[in-house]
Amino acid sequence: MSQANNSRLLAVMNSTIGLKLVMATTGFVLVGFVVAHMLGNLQIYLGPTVFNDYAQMMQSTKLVWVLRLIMLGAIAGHIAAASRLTMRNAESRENEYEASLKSQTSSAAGKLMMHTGIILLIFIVVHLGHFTVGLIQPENFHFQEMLQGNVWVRVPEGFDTSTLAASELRHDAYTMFVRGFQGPAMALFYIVCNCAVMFHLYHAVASMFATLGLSNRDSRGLFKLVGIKIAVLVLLGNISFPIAVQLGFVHL
Amino acid sequence: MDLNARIPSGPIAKKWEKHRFDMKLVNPANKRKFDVIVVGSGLAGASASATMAELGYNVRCFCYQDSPRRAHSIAAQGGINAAKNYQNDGDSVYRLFYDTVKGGDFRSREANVYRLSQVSVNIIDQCVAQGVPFAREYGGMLANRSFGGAQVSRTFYARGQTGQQLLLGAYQALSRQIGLKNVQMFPRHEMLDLVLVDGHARGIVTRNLITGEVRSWAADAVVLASGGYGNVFYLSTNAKGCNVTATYRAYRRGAGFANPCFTQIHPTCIPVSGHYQSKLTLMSESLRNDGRVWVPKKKGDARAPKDIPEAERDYYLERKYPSFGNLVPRDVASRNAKLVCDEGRGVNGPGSNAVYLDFADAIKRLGDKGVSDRYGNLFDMYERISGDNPYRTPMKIYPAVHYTMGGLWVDYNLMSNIPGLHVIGEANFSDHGANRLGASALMQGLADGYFILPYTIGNYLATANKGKVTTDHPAFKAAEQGVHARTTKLLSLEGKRSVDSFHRELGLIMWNHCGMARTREGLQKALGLIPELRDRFWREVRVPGSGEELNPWLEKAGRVADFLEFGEVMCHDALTREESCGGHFREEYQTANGEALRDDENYCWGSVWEFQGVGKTPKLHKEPFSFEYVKLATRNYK
Amino acid sequence: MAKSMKITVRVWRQTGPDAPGHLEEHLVPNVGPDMSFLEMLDVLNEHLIETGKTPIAFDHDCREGICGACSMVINGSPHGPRKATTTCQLHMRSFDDGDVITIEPWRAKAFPIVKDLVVDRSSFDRIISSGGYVSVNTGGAPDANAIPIGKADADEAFDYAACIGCGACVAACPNASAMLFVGAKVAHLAKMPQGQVERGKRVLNMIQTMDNEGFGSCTNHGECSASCPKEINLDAIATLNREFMRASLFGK
Repeated sequence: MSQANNSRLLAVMNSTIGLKLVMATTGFVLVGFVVAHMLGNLQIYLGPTVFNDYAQMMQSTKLVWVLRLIMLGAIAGHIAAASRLTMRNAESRENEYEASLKSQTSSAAGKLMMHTGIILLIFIVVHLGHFTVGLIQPENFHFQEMLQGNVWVRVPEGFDTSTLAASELRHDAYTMFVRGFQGPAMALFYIVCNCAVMFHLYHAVASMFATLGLSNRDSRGLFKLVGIKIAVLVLLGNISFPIAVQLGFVHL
Repeated sequence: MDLNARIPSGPIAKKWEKHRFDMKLVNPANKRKFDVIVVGSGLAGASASATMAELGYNVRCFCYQDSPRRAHSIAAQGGINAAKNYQNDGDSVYRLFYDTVKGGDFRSREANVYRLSQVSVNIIDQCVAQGVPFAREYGGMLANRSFGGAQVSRTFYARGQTGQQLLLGAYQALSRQIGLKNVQMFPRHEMLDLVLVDGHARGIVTRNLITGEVRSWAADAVVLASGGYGNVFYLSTNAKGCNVTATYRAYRRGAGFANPCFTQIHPTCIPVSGHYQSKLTLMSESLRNDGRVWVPKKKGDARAPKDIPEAERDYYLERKYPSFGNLVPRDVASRNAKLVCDEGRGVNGPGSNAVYLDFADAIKRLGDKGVSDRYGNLFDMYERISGDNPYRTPMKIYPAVHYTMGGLWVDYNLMSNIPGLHVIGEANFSDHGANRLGASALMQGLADGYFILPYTIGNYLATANKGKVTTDHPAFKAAEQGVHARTTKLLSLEGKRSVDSFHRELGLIMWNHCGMARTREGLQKALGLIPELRDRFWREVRVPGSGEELNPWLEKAGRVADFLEFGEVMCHDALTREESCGGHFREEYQTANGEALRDDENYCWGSVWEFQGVGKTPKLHKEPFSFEYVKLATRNYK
Repeated sequence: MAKSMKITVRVWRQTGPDAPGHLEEHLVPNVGPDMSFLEMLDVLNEHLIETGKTPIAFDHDCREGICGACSMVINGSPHGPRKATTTCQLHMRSFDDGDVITIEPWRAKAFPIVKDLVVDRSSFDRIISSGGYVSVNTGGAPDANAIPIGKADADEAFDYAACIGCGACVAACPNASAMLFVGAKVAHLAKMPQGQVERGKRVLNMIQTMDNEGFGSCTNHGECSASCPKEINLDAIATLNREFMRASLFGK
């Protein structure tokens, strides 16, 4: 790459629109993940076998690491760009209006992007610690299923698995999932955080299309509607899990 | 006073070409060495600054607005004429020339007008190349309309915002040169004096409107593009800041002021609604294409317009001018509105100064939608200002001062009688005679700025060869001191009245006695009232604040003080011109049926006034006009 | 006879760029509904002058909604409550007897206050002079009809070119962003064939200047367009983003 190209790209990445484009592209990846994640998790309603098959499939592929790296990169990029832009924007108006600006088109969701974003970050950390790394509620993390014939069954408590081959054991994600949501406080935490997800997406999707230069006067309304629908569906899907567990629809 | 117009010899169609060849050129390498000052950043000033900078001159451009983009050219609505003949309807350079001379009521210089028509075609090319979004046909070609009663469609337009789009084109060209550092732009700077060294214009004195700093600027030539003086009437369609100060200061330094009484009154403006009224808003006269003008037949008829039956309405333009009807030229339409209001048939409540412009027939014919497609933005604007819905009730309109044809005298090179002082756009007197045609102001501003001055100024710079002066020269120091003294005096007055209250009073005197119709008695009366008002101003005005800060009232005070002197010059001019022509209507000189009576025998000249001192009658000089190509004839719109 | 109103204004007073400012209250009796907002301030100022006080400085010029000089935030709305209306064309019939009206200047780091309600908007001029033009010298332009331009394109270009550079978009934006202003000029010229040659350079340079002037970034709230007296569409911003991406990726 030539020197000129290099400096151009550097300038581009440092400009407000460049940063916005980072927000939008990483946002696109993240929205895609959130939707897919929610859809994948709906398999919880199909019982332990299907759900654990899904979990096993996800874990067995090398792709999951690629995906995790992409997600990590997207989150890091999203946060880095967001913090630079937020600081910039805070500086752009040194003195606030005495009579605060009247909102005509802006939504609370749009104005609270940074706040919901911070909640999301906390949520992601807790969620990873909870279900991915097992640092939170580690007691739920070690349940396993074993192969009996060609059927996976839950490993009974106290059962010695040391005699089993690795291919005959798998992580019991279903049990972790259900036990993870059995505590009302944790369930509430997930519900609240998913409300933040909903707010974030409510503004994010349409905003993403605008930043990517894809929306125009004809499609803007449509994109807004798509954004709201995605936000609401993600919310409904995701909060259904703790609620279903709490109400006993999904149980061990 | 040297009033040699320096018109090139030869047939009119060849004059400009010949002149361009005869003019001395400045060596490209030497252009950098020449400094040019431009005062004003409207169509003329911005286009001239940009073009001269492109040629290589060092340009300094000054404007009182906070940005050059706000100059009042921006408010022109209708369009810009050009002899392109794109519509194949028989237009030509010659026809535009003919129409302009005739429309100007034979009080302009043929050679200048011809050149204006010639370069009009280049203007459109230039503006399109700049990306100006003119109106277009579906096939992608430029659209034209007929405007102001012209019989060909030669007007290019960009909805109702042609002036804005053309100004932004010029502003962008200027901005490019600012970015390239070929033009230094000084917004919020007001020119308060012209500086002459050895009889040549060599600089100006400005006040920085933010800091109050008074400063001199030296140059090799000075260009005034400071617009017209319509605000002498207080109420006009001009922007609030428009003023005569730059040209008037030059006049005080010896520049001749030509035809100051030629002012144009626009017939379709929104009427005055109260004492607090600060300005008048024009609505494009294209409204007269479909609107019908009427007043009640009965005096003092207070009924709502819808309650006045057809038989009791007087469609006076259609009645008096059956062939042109509502489309008679601006001066005729305006004067007739005044006439019916003077008869007591006006329709705006007490004071009664308005006539109806009724779209009921057009709405019947075209529907609300059809009318809105043509005039939607104008109807919206009317509704915003008046609170009435013109789809349901007739508009009320009244004439208002709109444009001033008079200005500093210039020769064919657009140079005043002071060598080095060039004057372009509305600020000069050259092309419109006693009456300007619709859509010709934009044309003239850009013709001067893009295509005429940048050539002719080179000739001056190449031949005058006066050597550099600096602002250390005593003439600059003296001028600065004069500006300081005047500012100090204005701020030290311990009166009680606001500047505006005096301006309003002056405006009323001018409107009543030197407005749409003038009489000897009225003008003489005004010549008594103005000095008296001026004396009171210098005793009773209060200018708040200091000179070392942003002080809009100090700015205004200086401008009004100049108007208070300039008003007298206008009245002298109107009094001297004992005929009626174009925008100048003397009640003593009219035909039996009330039409203007021009006197070519005795008044076929431009008046050029020379300053003799404040309160002293200025000295009259004359530039005789001869008409070789357009035969002197009486306008007839019956 | 038209009704007469009593209006209380709370207006921002500030003697200079670095001086502290405050709201000052004045009662304006006898306000007529047909008065324009600026005429109401004229009446107040005249009273202040006659009573030996310092009148209120505000920018204004054409008073017919086209020059873009007037610039006040009225009760939290730039140019006041009426849609598609500049302050100078706002009339007092939009207010009621007894109203208390708060009047403030545009507030943005890139628009420093000069005095009272007057701000310095020269940053807009600097943005234009960094690229908001077609580099064509006077003379030598081809015939105006040499390049046909479709009516729809010409009309859309006009819609963007209608911007009056007043800065209401910046004043209304929660981030004091100038994207609508810049977008309007970029979109206008991008729509015209004459603007194609410098398309890429233009947008990169204008964005760089915009950022250097200290404007904030766009978060797609749409307040700019809603406050715009000329109703410049948000498509201007989407177009700007698109043009920027195109220029960043392809350098043209």
